[in-house]
Amino acid sequence: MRGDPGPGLADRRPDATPRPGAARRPGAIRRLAGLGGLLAAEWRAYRLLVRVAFREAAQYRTSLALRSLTEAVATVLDLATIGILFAHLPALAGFSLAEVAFLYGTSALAFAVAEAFVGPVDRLGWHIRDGRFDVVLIRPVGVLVQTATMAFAPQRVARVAQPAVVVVVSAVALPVQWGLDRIALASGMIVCGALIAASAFVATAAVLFVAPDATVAVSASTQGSALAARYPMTVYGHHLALLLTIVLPIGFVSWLPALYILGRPDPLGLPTFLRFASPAVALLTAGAAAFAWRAGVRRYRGTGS
Amino acid sequence: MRTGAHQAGYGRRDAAWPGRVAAAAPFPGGYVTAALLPEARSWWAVAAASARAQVAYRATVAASVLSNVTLTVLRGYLALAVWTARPGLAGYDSARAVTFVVLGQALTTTFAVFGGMIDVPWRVESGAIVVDLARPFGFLRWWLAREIGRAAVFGVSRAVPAGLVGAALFGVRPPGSAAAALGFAASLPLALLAGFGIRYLVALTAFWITDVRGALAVSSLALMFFSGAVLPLTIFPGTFGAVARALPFAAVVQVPMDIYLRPRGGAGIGIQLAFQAAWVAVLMAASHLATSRALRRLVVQGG
Repeated sequence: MRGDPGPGLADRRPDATPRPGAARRPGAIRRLAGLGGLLAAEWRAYRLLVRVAFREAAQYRTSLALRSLTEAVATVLDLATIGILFAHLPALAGFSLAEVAFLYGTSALAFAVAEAFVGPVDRLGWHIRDGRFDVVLIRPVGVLVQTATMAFAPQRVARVAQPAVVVVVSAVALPVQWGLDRIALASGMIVCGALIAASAFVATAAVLFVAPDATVAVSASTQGSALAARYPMTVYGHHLALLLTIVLPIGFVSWLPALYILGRPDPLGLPTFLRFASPAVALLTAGAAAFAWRAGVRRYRGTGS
Repeated sequence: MRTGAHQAGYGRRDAAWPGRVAAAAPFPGGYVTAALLPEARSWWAVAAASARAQVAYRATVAASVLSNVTLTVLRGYLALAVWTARPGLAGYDSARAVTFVVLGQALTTTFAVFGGMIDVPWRVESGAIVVDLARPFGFLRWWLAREIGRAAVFGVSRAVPAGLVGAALFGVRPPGSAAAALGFAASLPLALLAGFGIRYLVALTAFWITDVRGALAVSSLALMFFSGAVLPLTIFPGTFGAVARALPFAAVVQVPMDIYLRPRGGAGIGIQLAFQAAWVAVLMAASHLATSRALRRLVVQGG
């Protein structure tokens, strides 16, 4: 891990001078290409900053190992909640233990991945309150990338372990034929679910630009969405289930694709194609989150401290 | 805005300085009143300053109300689903179960069961803790007084609106009897002290370890799970359940709710209050000890 530090940020940014030929392209395509280049540069900066955080943490290996272990063990409490419920019930809203475990595992895995990689954005409120945010705006890296990495906690990645195990164990326990369709959908739903969860994190964190003290409320609402995604939607009654599925896209994290995998009819009577709509929904929510974040950055005013 | 609120608070606190007030006028109630009144005024001033800082950001309050309502509604429906499938589980009917959830969520937010809310770690990190040490009010007392102010604001601004929505949606049962109502009222200050003691001890670890975020994350999960905020501890099975019900976390949500609901087979109100009081005594003694240890080992770098 401790090899050469690698090229710095400045070396990795795309050239300021446009490549020959770029100037001759029509406007829309050029703008799209510019956006693509920008995204690639941001992604490189993000990877670099995350690697720095890991290398920093690796200086104290025992400490990192211990912290990762405690994070991983702490997530077991979520699983214990489901275990305790099923100690008293044969089924929850008609869903068996293996089915609820699959719903929990896939959604918890998506949320854990999002939490590990963009979770620190909810520290934005602290940065604003302590007057550390002005500096972020003048650095040549995107605000989102910086906020997501400023308080990056490598041990958070350990939270992925337990839901991943639950997904595998429950997938084996489910009484379904694991064909190519189900495997593809299951892996796709985790990727799209992580993207939807990350978008939810970013969009709610954008509230902190207006209300920098609301860190607790922001983390409570992300916890709320993780909680909502964990159980069969029918638990929440017809209207709330529709709200959670259609208006807030929480149902697309695991509920709708999982219905296909479990081979169940939709208790809410939604059209079947929605079970495969998670990628489109993920793109839409990512767009909405980007919009909310940009609106937040534009509204930002220093606290003067 | 926040700075303004703080300054206003400090101004008020100066006026209520113990020495100055005691010297101002002889009180008719004699020496005891003369000694207690300034003390009470200082507590009031610190708590009020903390409360004002909490209401400074209106948008924050709005966001918190929204998230509290969301959690109340989600947990309420989950409890309904469980108790419809298994009526009478843990001695609750479904009306009692949703009451547990709605009021339990109100206690959760009032007593900050979600963890944190004591700024010691960040102040140790930034060195601002020095200012706290210089206050002529006592370190532990300062943070406890601030906690009282915070709990009052969270209770009124978050717990009450979320509780009203929960009550409108699911219905909340009144306490089982007059004794239950009185016992519940008496258990609330004890729950506040227990919740504060646990979080204060966690916050103090900042004096020994450099990065408290791990400790904070783990403690908040443990506090949520073992206080009864996620599920009533009475449905935890076997020895695991017995251990969970004996831990100090239970004093924050589970015990007040047991006193309020009086489920069949539950312990008497007196025993429940004694359980809380015993843990509060232990936690406060530990907090006192840890405070003096922590302050003795503090070294602040730079200036």
